[in-house]
Amino acid sequence: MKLSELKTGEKGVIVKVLGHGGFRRRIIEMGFIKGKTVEVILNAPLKDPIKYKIMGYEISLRRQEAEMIEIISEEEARKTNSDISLYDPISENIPVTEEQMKALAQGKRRTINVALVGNPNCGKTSLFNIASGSHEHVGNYSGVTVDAKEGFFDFQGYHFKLIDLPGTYSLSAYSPEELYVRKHIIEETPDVIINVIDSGNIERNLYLTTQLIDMNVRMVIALNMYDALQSSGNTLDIKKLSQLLGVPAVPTISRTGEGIDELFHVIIGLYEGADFMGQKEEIQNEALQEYRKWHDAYVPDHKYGSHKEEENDFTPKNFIRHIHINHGPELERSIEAVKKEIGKIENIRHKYSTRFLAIKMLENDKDIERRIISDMPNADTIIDIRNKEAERIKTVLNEDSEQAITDAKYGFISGALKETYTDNNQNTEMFTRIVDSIVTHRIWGFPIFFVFLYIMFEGTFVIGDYPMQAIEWLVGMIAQTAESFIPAGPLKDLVIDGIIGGVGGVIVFLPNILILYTFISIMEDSGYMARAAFIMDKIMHKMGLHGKSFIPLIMGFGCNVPAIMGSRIIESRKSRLVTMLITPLMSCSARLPIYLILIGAFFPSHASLVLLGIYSIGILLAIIMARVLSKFIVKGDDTPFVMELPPYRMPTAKSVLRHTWEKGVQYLKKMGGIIMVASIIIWFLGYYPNHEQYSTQAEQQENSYIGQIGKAIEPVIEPLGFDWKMGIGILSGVGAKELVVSTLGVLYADDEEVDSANLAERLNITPLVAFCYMLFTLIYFPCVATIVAIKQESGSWKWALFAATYTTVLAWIVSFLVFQIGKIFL
Amino acid sequence: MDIQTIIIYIIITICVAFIGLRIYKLLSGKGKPECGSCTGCTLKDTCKKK
Repeated sequence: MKLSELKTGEKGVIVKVLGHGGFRRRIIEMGFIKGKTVEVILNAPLKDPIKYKIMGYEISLRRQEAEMIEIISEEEARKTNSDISLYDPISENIPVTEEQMKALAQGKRRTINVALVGNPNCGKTSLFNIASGSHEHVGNYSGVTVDAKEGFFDFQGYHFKLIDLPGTYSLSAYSPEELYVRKHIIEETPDVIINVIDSGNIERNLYLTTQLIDMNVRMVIALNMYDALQSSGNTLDIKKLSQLLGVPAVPTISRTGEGIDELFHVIIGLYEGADFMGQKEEIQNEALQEYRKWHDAYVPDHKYGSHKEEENDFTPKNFIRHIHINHGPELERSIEAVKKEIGKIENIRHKYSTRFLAIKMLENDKDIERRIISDMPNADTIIDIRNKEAERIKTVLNEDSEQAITDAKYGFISGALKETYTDNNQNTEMFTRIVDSIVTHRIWGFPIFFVFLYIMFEGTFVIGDYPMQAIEWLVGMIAQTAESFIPAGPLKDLVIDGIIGGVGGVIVFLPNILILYTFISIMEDSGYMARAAFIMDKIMHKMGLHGKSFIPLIMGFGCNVPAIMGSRIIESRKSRLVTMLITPLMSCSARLPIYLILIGAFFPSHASLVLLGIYSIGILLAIIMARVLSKFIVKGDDTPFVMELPPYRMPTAKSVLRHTWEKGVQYLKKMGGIIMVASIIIWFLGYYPNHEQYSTQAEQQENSYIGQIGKAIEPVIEPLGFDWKMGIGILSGVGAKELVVSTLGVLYADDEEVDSANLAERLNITPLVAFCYMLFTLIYFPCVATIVAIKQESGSWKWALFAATYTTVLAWIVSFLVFQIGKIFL
Repeated sequence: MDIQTIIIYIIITICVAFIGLRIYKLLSGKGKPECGSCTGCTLKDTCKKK
């Protein structure tokens, strides 16, 4: 019976907790674990909530929550006892001890309800038949037009109730079969689901698996007809697939019965394990001991830890982890919005995963809408949000939300299979596969990636040059106007040298940065970014990271701050931390103006190649540092996860323009804010004290505040070939990298020229020094915002300060070596 | 001290206060680090602005 059926003052022993996901876990963590005695203390006036006493403390549960807990009551126990003591005429008055009740609960608990779910013709019924070979009863359930078979059998001291559900390709509401299966899973809450998969058609079969994952149910995958996969010459890394999906997978051959024992062992482990493991997969010893004690007593031939699957590390601890299928940023944003609204009604969580409901709503599932959502008090709001989000997805992704979700799920599957499945009979007809076979080719993949980067930088240079000249002219005009209108004096110098020289020097690079962002957006939206990460996977693995780490790293080309925030997608703490620490080595767009100025002046004939070289050095150093950090500094284990390979999609102009526009606005805001303020301060420090006392500007600057600071740090930067003004540029870059150029613009400003486009001509340095300066600005201290982001994401100042220190030291060493060695040859 | 110098000193004071406040906010965790891109956050749904 259910806990909710107990009356005040009555006692019962918990048999099992139904339901799934977060709700079930919460109930278990509250102490409602199997074998515990629970007593009803009182019912609230409206019989909801109900106060219970368990493990010595009192706790309130809503009636709906109590309905999800199966118990054995004293009355039931007495009845069961009287069934045994047939000859005792007063058996119904025999008091039942708590120990007896617990023993009965233990026995009752040994019934495991298992549902078989899978595509049609995946060998599900064969598996059902072979598993329940000695079945005592086969019944038929009649649905609308579908049937479900029920079978019983005993195994390893457990009594299995097996339900063979009709074959279905998905859990949508298109066909009665699909609805029936879905309803069964939700209403009947089987203890464990066997997701039967046809090993010869894994990709299509896994689609249903992803939907079951969305439902957050306890399940095991039976890779059926595994022999067909083996004989085809294809290979599958089952263990890795299990880890990626967070679901244990067992190869089975229904025809011969191979793998069936192992499958049910895993089911027992899953059934029991889910109760003895806490939220963080920590073992709850008390529950585990009980489980082992019982197993030792009732299954003499069983020695815990001696099974094949345990030897192979096939214990639930290593596989069960609820994952969320990543549907991509836009869809995830919509799912989150709908889920948030659904989750406001707390009761809904008892039976349903709110994420599953949100996804179904976005898929426009009428059944869910009619049966579940329409009964909720905030139904109208949920539907409104859904409609709004569906509309937004249509605009941004250029396809309806249902199609987009399907695509994303196949993207996830494709990513998982790419890592685990080797198809030796590749069907190369599909567009995605053709393109993938080229761009992720083990030899051609890298050159193609670098050609892409080269085109990106060439575009940044060549296309960006025209609007850049226009802005330069505009800045020049503003400076001339200011020159003629403002009377001579420090205020005029401030406006022309400080503000126009500083801000104008950086603002001319706005078009280049927008172009760079356009390329990055196209790479992201088309799906190539994921491929770039994929081809880097092997290298990243060797460096102690996952290929997925490469995505935040590429994002770092735009700005390091969101890249560090984006590292949240990496589940393993170790990989996440290492990714955060090496992200500053990815050259952000704020550093681009420095390169553009110096490359334009010193390497005009090989501009794009040198720029590509600088970015590549950043990537190379990041890879080396990842290896060093993961080997010597950051400790911990890695968690495997799927790298989604979404299908290729033509980037929509709206999406690309939106990203670029947002970047443009951000950049201009920065110019009007921090860059202008910092330029004014730099100008002030370079102008005072005693501006009038010196005959030349050079003399005056050397004796200014900033000159004194520069002279103080000069001994440190002199071995790198930098003068004190370049040193000040480096110092100011600590605030924001754009400040390097604006500072140089202010410091190198003379009376005739104010725009920084000619700044390079005023820098009296050799190409080698220019190259070293680019290297130094590439590697050294990321900006303050990046350091703060590392602190926020790692939760510790220790790692933030470490990043600041190691990058600066590395920058000095690299620049020193390049300069000193370069001097010998040049 | 002429009027231009006085104006400059006022501007500098404001600028220093602006920078100081910005650094204080960042270090005390009261403000979020300045985010120069929307692409990254949107990409991985980590943007806090939306």
